[in-house]
Amino acid sequence: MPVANATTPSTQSPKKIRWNDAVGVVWLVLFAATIASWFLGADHGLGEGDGAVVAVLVIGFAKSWVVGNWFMELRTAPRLLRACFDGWLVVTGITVIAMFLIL
Amino acid sequence: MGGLAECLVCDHIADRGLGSVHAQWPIRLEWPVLLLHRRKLALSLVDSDGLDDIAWHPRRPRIDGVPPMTVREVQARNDGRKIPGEIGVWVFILLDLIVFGIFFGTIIFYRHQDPAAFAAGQDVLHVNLALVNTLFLVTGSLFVVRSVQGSRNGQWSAARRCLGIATATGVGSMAVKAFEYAVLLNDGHALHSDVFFFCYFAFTGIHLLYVIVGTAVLTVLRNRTKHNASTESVESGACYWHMVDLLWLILFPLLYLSA
Repeated sequence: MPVANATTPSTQSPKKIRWNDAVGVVWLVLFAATIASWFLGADHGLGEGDGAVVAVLVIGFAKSWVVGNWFMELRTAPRLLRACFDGWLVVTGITVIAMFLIL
Repeated sequence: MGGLAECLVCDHIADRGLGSVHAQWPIRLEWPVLLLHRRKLALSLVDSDGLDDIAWHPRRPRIDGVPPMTVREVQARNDGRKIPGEIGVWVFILLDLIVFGIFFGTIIFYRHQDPAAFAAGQDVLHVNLALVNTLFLVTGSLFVVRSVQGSRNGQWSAARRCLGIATATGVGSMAVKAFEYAVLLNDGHALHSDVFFFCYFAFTGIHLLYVIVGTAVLTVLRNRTKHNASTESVESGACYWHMVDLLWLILFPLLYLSA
């Protein structure tokens, strides 16, 4: 069993959590992309039809990729695990968008 | 010989002696870890004095008389890569992703079967509530990331605070969903109304279940930060929460924004 709170040796002073790092920027991007897709999709007179739907779907899958690679830290995970996730995302994304356009 | 033994791959830490850690690896390292790391896998021994760093390669155990690798050698081989959280959680996440992938295909398929029902249904949905829900989940994810960072830095009170805020966003998301369901049911829409509302209630309902479980996991982790949390358990819970978030990021445009 893992030992409680034993990752940092007691001699080492703990670092502060940084709030203005890359993850903060990633969150801002996700926030902005969410607002953008809502704006595109919720009848604001911009881009009616298939184009707008494909755009919001692409934004959705792109945001998922960002969450997987930055928040879940798959960027620094073993390559096979990262490939499994990225592969799922690409296959699902292409299938969903292709089904939407072809059906 | 005492000291903390740390697995470079999975963050496993044991306060056993050298011998018992060495004996532990065949039990500890399940097949998915072996599959992912193959020749790169190693346990390292971080002594309390920080000097005697030794690692073993499972394919070249020390009992065969092959000298152990140093931590630096192992890190060079691993290229600094490691699995965030427990490998078992990742097996679960990948299976869930496949299941939800099928759900997404199902939604598009039914949309093709009855486009009129989808257009009418999406007109009735409250996109603004779903937007708030999305922002809750994304913001929750940010605080979950911060709690992982805090647990790695040994800042358990900060980790605890961040887990508390993330839990609150989970509860907020549930409240928004409950309100949305109440409004729709009040307007006479239900699971059996038409094919769109079947998709809507079924798939957002399943997702809501995931949000409830994720929030419960965050609550448990938050309570554990008081005494017996490990970085690995926080990472595992975090990955589960991020999966819940990223699935919603695809469900949101599919159900609300594809009119």
